[in-house]
Order: sequence, then structure tokens, then C-alpha cells
Amino acid sequence: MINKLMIYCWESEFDSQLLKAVNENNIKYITFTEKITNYHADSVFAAKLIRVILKEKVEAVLSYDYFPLISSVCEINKIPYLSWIFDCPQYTLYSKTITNKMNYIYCFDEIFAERIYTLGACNVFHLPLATDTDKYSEILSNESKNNEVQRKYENIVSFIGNFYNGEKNRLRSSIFSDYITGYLDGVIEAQLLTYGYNFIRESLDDTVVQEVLKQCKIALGKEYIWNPEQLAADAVGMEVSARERELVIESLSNRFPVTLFSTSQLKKEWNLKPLLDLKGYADYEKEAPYIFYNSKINLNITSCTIESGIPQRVLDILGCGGFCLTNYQPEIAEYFVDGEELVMYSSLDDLFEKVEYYLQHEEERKGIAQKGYLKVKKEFSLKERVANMINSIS
Amino acid sequence: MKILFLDWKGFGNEDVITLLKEKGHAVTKILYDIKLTEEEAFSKEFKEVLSKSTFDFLFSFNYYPVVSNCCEGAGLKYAAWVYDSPYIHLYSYTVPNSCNYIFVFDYGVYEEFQLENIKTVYYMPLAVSGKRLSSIYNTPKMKKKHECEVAFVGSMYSEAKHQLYDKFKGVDEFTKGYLDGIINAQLKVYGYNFLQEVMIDSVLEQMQKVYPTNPNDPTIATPEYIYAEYVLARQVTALERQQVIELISERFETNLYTNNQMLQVGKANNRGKIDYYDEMPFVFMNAKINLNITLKSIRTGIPLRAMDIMGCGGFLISNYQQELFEYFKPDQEFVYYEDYGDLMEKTAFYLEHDEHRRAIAQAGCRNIMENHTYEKRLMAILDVIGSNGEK
Repeated sequence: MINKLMIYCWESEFDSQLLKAVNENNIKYITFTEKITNYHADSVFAAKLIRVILKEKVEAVLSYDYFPLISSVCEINKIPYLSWIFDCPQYTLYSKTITNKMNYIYCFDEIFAERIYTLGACNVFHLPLATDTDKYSEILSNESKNNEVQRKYENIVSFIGNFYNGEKNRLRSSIFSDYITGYLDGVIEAQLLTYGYNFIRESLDDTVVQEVLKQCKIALGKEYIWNPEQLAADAVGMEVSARERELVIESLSNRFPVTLFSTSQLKKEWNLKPLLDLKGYADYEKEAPYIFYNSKINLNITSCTIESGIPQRVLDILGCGGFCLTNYQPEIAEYFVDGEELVMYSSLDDLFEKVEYYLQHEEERKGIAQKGYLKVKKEFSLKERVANMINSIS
Repeated sequence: MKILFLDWKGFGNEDVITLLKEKGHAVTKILYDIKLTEEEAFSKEFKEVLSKSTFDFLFSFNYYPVVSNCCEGAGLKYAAWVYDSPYIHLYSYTVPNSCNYIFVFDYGVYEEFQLENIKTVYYMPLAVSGKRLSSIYNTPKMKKKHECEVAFVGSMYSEAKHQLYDKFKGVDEFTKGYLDGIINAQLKVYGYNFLQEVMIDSVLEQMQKVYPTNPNDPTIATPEYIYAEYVLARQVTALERQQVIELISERFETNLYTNNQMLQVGKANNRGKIDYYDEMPFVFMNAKINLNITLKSIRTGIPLRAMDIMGCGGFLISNYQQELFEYFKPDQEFVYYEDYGDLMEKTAFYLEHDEHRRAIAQAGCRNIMENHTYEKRLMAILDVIGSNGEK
């Protein structure tokens, strides 16, 4: 039992939900919100953190994602550091601090969890993400009486997301020789056709790995464990995600009305597509719940680098009573009943067929959304996840 | 029944002929040159044979358009059991001929034809001769000759006729890279063949330049199909077989039985060619572990090799193939691998556990003898054709 938990808050969208869940477990907590400037060496941050830990008699620290500096501080003070990973890839996990014995790492993706364990982490757990159904049902029960809101967020098919085509996608902005370009295109095209299995890392031979790292200028400092194949695979994976999302939205909006909420730079021609409604930024806390609830179909296109896990998006859609149509993911298949709680597609043709079908079968669609909501309410509660994490500390 | 049997040098001919005769059917052989493209050469002999006797149907392993046209003309049913993959004649314009009963062993391929609404193609997994195999007994001489830890019988696809890939050395750099990329990707994926789908136009164009598919051939096979299944799939399998045998022979005593006797693959002992009927069963009986590494153009089907191994009482470790799971119990009647690491672990494990291995081999053999013999298949084929010649 932890008598005093410190929660490092940096992820504004989800922090309040986490705090609420900790509270519901009757765990006394304090928050720490200092901004970190360097993941390994920020003496100001470290000093403040240690001071608070000692003064408040903090017994464990919890954060979304992994902060090497927090791990170091916890290691020295011999208190557990609970790190809940909710996005892949996460290069801070390649930090040499990963082997710290006070680390307790909870990863939502099984395959990634295996990798973290192979890197030398002592306590790694597979822990799927969660969603706050209370908050969402509160908002919705208030607003469902308000028709204006309903109309504003009514969509046929909607997608909220990033297109991974900006600065962070180094592969796209790099120049390669014809051979390497061809090689990467081949692997990417093959991966785009394959659902449920990411073979990028295994398909890249050493020459290609070296070239990718060189042209993309990918390098990690000496504080990190150097993992060239995985870093190259992640760079290629981001390009796969970019192409996949472009391909899906572009082709789908040729036939069906699609509303897109994205701040990414999109193709200019998309402005001219009659069925594609470009709506820009959507506030995740305030607007997304209404979008999920009021869209007939909510698309989820999982990022390629999330190899097996259930992304947060899926749980949030279901938690808001929305109907979710998602690419096939192994863990989604494991935890949900396809066709009853959500619907999965495993090819573009499959996607088109299902969009058409579910637009025509409203009752069935609503039934599925309802069952999906009940599933996440029952099995994906934040409160329970927090309890799991606390209980797992020996 | 009176059966006309197409005689060309293929596996299984003797087994089937013997079986048919034992069942009381009258079998007449008619010689066939599989390189034939003109009907005239065969048509004359065909008409002559037909003039002397009536037949219920013509049977051949694999499918020949020339034969089909002759049968169509004579109103004679043509049962063709295709065991090769890929098999280009499946894309012949003659396939929809009403006389045809074409049986394919790969469900993935059968589904393609179903989608196109072609009713002359049926699904029929391969088989072994139950009678012949169960009457082969091991001898001390054969044991001494063939005992080893791991054996692989098969083509390494390095032979001249398979060196098609070398023709593509003249393509541009992008295409070279692209082909290498998709080959390396396909090497890592079992259960899904994307080689055809992933051929983009620019790559196809380049390939057509250096190795044009013959536009005069009367076939509906697309260039993508030909390049993917005849060139790329073989290249992927060539690499896989090479890599696997190198890895395995590094740790375990490995015998390789392949046509190209001169090939040095890792530390394997290359024993050269082996006779399918006379000696191959002894290889399977005396190796502790027999590997099956399926050619990538076979999507879901169980290759003949895997059935031969189990039918001879051999212990089988195979790459993942979907239909193996439909007809056999994994880890009870056969063992499979999902990647090279998995293969090494399982090989080491089963070399250490003789009892386990023998039990699995025996169970696999029982399953074959009960369910996957020519006897069973011929009955099924006759059912489809209709024993009195009616549909």
C-alpha cells in the first residue's frame, strides 16, 4: 500500500483523468508539474524533485510515459517509479536508466513490452490503456438535450488524427539513392498491405539501416542504448502510417462523406474534394467526445509503430458511445468481439464494404456502439488500472 | 470404369494407375509430351485411341490446354489434378471448357477462381499412396545410408531453369531496390503472399523491358502473376531455404537432397538427387527431423513433400501453412515454425526428446493413412465427376 504517491503531470489532456482515478483508489497524492528541459541532465528539475520527495515523504512516483531523470532520482531514493507507456515508439526507453531496479514499466503494447524487457528492464508489465466513461457520460447526458451541439458535431464518417507527414517524419524529407528509395518503397508498400503484423525491422538489411540513420540524421546521445535496427524501423514505420492515413482518407472520401479533424499539412487537392470536409483542430477534451458520439462512423487507423496494442483513440471512441471502425490490431481482436462491440477491417476493400454496410444499417451500428461502451466501462476503467499498478509493486 | 490416363513423367502416375486397376477399372495409357503447344500433334493419336474404345473420362496430373480442347471436341470428361504451384495453364482460356474438372490443392488459389465464378475448378488436397508407403520397411542398409539429425529434400531453386531472377539484373536501381525490399519483406511473412499485389506500374514496366512475358501465349495470366509467382516467389523461397539450411547445418548434422549436387549450403552434406519412389521414403524414415519449407506461391495448401514425409512415418517440421492446421493437429501430428528462432528451438528440442518425436511422427502417419491417401481422393474425384458420367 502506498501512503503518498507523486504524479508527474505533463500530459494535459489525460492528467486530470489519472488524478481522478488515483483519488478513487483512496490513495493520497501530490502532483509535480515542473517542466523538464533535458531528459537526463536537468539539475534544477532533479533538485526540486528530490526536495519535494523528501519533504512530502513520497513513497512512489507515477507518470505517463518514461522520464529517465525521474527514474534516476527514484533509484537513488529507493522508491518505485511507475511509468505507464501509452505511445509507441518511445525513445526515452532506450535510456541506460531502463535497467534501474526501481522502475516499474507498464506498456499498453505487448510486443513493445517484450522489447523493453529485452533491453534489460526488471519490472515490465503489459497493461492495456483505459478511458474515463464517467466523465464522458456526464458531458453527453447534458448535451444530448442540446440539439445545436448535436448538429454541429454530426458527421457521417469522421477521423481525428495526425498525418505524420511533418518535420518528425524524417524519412519523407530525406534523400536516398534510387536503390534505397526503391527498397524502402517495396517494404512500405508490402507493409501497407499487411494487417496485424509489422515486419519492417526484420526486412531492413544492414546497408539500408545505415543509410536510413545517416540520411535521417538519427542519433542518440551516450546516455542511450544504441539500437540502430529499431530506430530505422521506427522511421520507416512513421512513413507507413503517413501513407496509410493519406490513402484511406483520400480513397474513402471519393465515395463517402468524410469529416477530417487534423492540424497536419494536407494535400492542396483535398480542398477541392466535394465529399471531404476539412475541419482542422478539435479540442480533445471538450470537442472530441461530441464528435465521437455524433458521428455515424468513427475511424481508427492505428499508427504502424503500435504493433499489437489497443490505441487510446479506440477506447475513447467507445467510451463516448461512439461506433468504432478500426484497422485490425491483434490486441483489439483479443479484447473485443469483432462485429459486436466494434468492427475491424483488414484491407481497403473490406473497409469500403463495411463503411457502406454500417451506414445502411443504423440499428445494428447503434447496437454495436452500445455494446462497445459497456465493454470499456466494465473492463477498461482507469480506476482499476491504477489499482493494478499499485498492487504490482512488490 | 474405363479411364484414359495421360502418361507423362510426373509424380504419382504409377501409384494412381496401380490403384485404379486394383479397384477394377480399365486403364489405358496415352503418351503426352508436356511441351506441346499445338493440338494437331496430340489430336491425331487421341482420335485414334478414342476410335478403338470408349472411355468415361481422361485423367491427368496437372492440366493441359491441348488435352482439354481435344476432350471438349470429343465430348469426353477431363479430370485434371494439379499438384504444381504456380501453374500457368490454370490461366489458359481453355479452363472454362465444359469437359473440365480441374482440381487444385491450394485453397487460396481455388478461392480466386470461385471469386471469378469459374465452375470448372474444384478443391482437392494432395495425397500419398497409402498402400505403397505402408508396405515399405526400413532396412539396416538404408538406415546407415540416410540416418542424420535433419534432412531436407527439395529444390534450392538455384538451377539454371530457375535463374530467371538473374535476367532482372538489367533493371534500373529503383526497381532493383524495390524487388529486394519486397523479397526481404515476404521472407518474413507466413500465411500471406503479397508479391502480386505489391507490383507497382513502374516496376512492372522495367521488368517487361528486360524479360518480356510472351504476349503471344493464349493465357489470361497477368504479367504480375508471372513475375510474382514464377520469379519472385521462387527467389524468396530460394533465400529462405538457403538461410534455413545454413542456420540448421551450423548446429546440427544435416543432409541435403537436391538435384544440384554441386551446391554447398552451409555445413550440410549435399547428397544430390534422390529417387521419389525407390529411395526418398528411406530418407524420411531415417532422418530424425524432416524439414518442409513451402514454395511461397503455395498460399494455404499442403505441399506434396509434407504429406510424403508424414506418410512415410517421418517427423515433420514445416513452415506455417494454413491448411496443415485444418487437417492435422499441431505439436501432435506435426510441428511448425513461425520464424528462424522458433525453428532452431524446436529442432533442438525434438532432437533431445526421442519419445515425443516418435509419437508425433506416428500420429501424423496415422492421420495420413486414414484421410490423405489416393484411395480417398480418387473416390472424391469420381464423386465430383459423377460415376455414370452425368453431372
